[in-house]
Amino acid sequence: MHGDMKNKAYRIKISRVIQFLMITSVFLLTACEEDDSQKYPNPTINLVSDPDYISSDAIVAVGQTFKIGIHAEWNEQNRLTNFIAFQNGERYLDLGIYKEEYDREIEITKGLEDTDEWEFMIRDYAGQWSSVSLTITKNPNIEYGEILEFDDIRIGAQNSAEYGSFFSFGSGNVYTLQEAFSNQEIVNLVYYYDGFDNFEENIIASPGANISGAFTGDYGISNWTTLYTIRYSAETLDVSEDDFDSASNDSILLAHSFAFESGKRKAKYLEEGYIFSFVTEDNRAGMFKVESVDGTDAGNIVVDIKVQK
Amino acid sequence: MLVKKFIYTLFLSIAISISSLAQSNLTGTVTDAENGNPLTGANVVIKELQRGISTNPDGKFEFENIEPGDYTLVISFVGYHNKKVKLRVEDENSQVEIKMIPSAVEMERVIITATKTERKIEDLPGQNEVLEKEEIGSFPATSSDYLLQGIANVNVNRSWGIFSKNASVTMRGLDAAQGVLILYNGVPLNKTAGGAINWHMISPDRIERIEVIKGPSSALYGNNAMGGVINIITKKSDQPISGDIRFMGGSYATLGGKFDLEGNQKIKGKNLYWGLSGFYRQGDGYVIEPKDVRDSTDVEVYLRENKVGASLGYEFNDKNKIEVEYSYYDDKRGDGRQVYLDDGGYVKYTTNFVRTKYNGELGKIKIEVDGYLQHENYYQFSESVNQDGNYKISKRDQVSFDYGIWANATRKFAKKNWLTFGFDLKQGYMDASEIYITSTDTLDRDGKVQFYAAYLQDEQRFFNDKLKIIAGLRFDYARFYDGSIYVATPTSNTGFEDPVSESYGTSNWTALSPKLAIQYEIIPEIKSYVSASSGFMPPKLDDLISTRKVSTGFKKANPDLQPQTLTNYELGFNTRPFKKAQFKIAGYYSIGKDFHYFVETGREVDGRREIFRDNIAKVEIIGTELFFQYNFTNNLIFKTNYTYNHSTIKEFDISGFEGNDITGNKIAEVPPHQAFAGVFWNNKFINSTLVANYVGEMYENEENTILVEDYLTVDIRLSRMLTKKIFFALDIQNIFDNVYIDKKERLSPGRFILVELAYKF
Repeated sequence: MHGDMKNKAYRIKISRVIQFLMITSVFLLTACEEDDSQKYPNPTINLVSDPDYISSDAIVAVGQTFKIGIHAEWNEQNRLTNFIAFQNGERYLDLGIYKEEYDREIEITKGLEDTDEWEFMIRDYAGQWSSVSLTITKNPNIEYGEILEFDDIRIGAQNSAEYGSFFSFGSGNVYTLQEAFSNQEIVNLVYYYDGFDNFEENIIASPGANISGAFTGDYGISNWTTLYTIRYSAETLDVSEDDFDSASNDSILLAHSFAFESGKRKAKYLEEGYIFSFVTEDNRAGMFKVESVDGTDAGNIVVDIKVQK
Repeated sequence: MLVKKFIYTLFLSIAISISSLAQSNLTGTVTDAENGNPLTGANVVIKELQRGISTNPDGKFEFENIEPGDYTLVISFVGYHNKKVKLRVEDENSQVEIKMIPSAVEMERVIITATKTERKIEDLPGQNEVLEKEEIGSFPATSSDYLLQGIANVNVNRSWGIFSKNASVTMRGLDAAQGVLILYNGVPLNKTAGGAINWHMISPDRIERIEVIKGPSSALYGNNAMGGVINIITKKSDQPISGDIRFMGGSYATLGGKFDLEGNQKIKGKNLYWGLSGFYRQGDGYVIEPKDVRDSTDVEVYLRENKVGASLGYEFNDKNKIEVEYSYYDDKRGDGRQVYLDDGGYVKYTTNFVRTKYNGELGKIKIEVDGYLQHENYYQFSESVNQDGNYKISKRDQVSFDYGIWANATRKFAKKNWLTFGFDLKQGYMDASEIYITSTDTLDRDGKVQFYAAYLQDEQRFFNDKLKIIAGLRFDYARFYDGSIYVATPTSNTGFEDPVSESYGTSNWTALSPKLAIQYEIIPEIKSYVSASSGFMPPKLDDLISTRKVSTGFKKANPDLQPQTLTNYELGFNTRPFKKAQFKIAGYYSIGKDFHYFVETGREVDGRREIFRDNIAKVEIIGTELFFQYNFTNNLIFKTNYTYNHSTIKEFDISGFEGNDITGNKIAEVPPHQAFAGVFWNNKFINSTLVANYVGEMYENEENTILVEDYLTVDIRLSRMLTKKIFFALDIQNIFDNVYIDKKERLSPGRFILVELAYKF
């Protein structure tokens, strides 16, 4: 009797162990993948119809800034994850997002191309997408303005004994610090070298760019009463040297212009071949190209400059 | 169908074992013959019934329901000579007292991996170590790689504890790229694709022993065995049915459970042994980003993992047996960043592993044939916001698949001469894709490698076994083929300027790896050895075919990468200064050639330097390791070791590339100083372990401009059998809560407490 009870207890124990194992195994092995084979509608994207926006094909003058409004919505299943704007097949904007609805205002300055095909694409988490497009044509009836051209202007760094560091669009002359102090009303552009903290920066700026530390002394910029300001593009432009050299009116300057407030106070890390655009405080568009640079605080830079008259 | 047969056999076996129950009880006590102390955890087996049990904290054991008759008890316990006791069980309950005679310390242990023949550690020239089951159970290990921390000259890096997706294990002053061969029951776990071993797949509770061979071992093991070899051998049941169910809980809301069920049945006089195991663990984790650089997207690195496994073995006779094992592992680990998605970024491994083993004898030749297959799916899902506020989601799906066969034969030609020979075939492939959900980029890359190798080893003994010589030579041939990369609609997210569709050519490599080792017994207590050996490491598929962004830049594939090699010269002494102590010392000099290092091409991709691995460095390692163990009693053991490695780059040929010449620099991620000390004390009240691990400061990068600070961790484990069936353990890792910064500038978890409760049957 005693043995039977032991046997029974043993069987119950084994049975419980096996039950536990089966339940555990089922629990561990029944993890299943989500069925993502179901197809949902594509997300939607539309151009916003509003007086402030262009929402259909249009004709625009080179250098004119216009806005396009975008509104996109998900398919109630997969969130929007990627917005892309293509200009003539090239990516103009490519943004990662994670939204159910997406609104975007894009401000564009008309470039030199005869036509720009703009395509705006929205993609969702599942890779489904929709797009909308329009064509912006260059206004052929606009006459472009005259420009001032300055070639091979050699400007010295702050400690250069040979060359001045200041340039005037009005006179076309390069001035030393002392000369510039006396002509501060017409001085527009400054070159200096910043070797601080091992960062070797060749910089073109303007007297109003908070650079008084680079030009000190009796004639130092902190003692100037007129500080002309120029704003520059953030980086070198995707413009060929030939296009720059051949420009005889302000179309290329307008095509790469920008709102004065959005520009940078300094054009930094200058190297040979770099081309930057700029806007003056009196709203003239311009560009400069670096011909050569001798990057020390006693060195110099040679630039070609084009600016609207 | 096979599964049904297996379950049927299992139920049949259980039924047989149930029906064999009888009426008498056999009880007894196992003690130390020298001091009379009870021995806890000694293994007691009734040979004729194949029933076994472990002694409780008082050294007592009890077998219930034994039929009257004559039996043989076999008692084994680490540190003691095995004992056989013949006895008669009457109708009444029987009692027996067993006194165990202590053996010498570790030098008595047997090791197989060093020569592929069974040898005592003290008979081998080299610094080899074995961790036995009882020691393994003493460590506060939350993962199997933890157990290697106590081995001299092994550097284990698992800085996020159980929340690390993997651990790097290096040896002998080499960095993680140079590698150690990790074997599991004799078959390799290293992947031809690259990447770390998935240590989570191996539960510490399943390990019977770990054998560690230090120094280049390519003469026998070929590729990957450049720093050494670690062989993890799992348990095999010798009882009709046994097992345990464990539950655990601890810091960072860590919870888990395990089960082990195993058995050994006689079917028509043949042994059929089997095992089933399962494991689940989850934890909420902690924030790895240091507080001063955290932002709102930094979250805890959570963990969820599970594993199931089954094994089956059949012994045709004393000489022939066959084994098969399957395991499945699956996990999901948060990467510590969450922006919009519920689970944030995470990584996930899904691994299927199968191995088979045949041991047999053909005349005088002992044969072992191992087959294996490892299929790993690595899935990485990332979400982040960059400095410009641009949101990014990407997923990487990478399959690595390795399978092979390894055949080994040993023949004794003369009384003191053994010849071992064999061949090793392996095939591996990698297929990876990356898809960017927040942009249009898709990348695909794949490639294959094949390895063919043959080896020969001769062991000879002279002068009454005082002089032992081992000579070996292995030839390896490898082929890389079918490599390709395909990139569609790329953007700055992946760094490709244009779509790519490129196939790589075929590459062939060969390596000849010799070894000569000589041991001389000066006196029985002092044995000296000298050895010269070589190792080689072929390129990983990831370096051959993968062009992608990595944390250090934009990594370009190098399909022309060649193997790196290491030659090692070593002198050592293994001594037993007195009966209860063991002292080992070794010094070595290694020269590595064609080492893989990153070089810069001079290009920048999306603001990152473009780099690729090339064979450009010659390295030198001068090192020494010391090991001391003292057994105060067999229940109170002290172990310590210290390692010094001076690993420097002797030559660095970057002609034609950009970047700094780093000749003379230290090898990155190798700590020059490492030390370990542990006290293991088993007594009738509680089994306790205290281990301290020191890792010296090291450089994080090849340029030696960033230092990773040294750190010390102290861990304890307290455990005991609460009743005959209930086991309790408390593990505290890093008891002083020393939160250190790891080489990736992330935080370690600090103090980690884990409580474990097990029911054993």
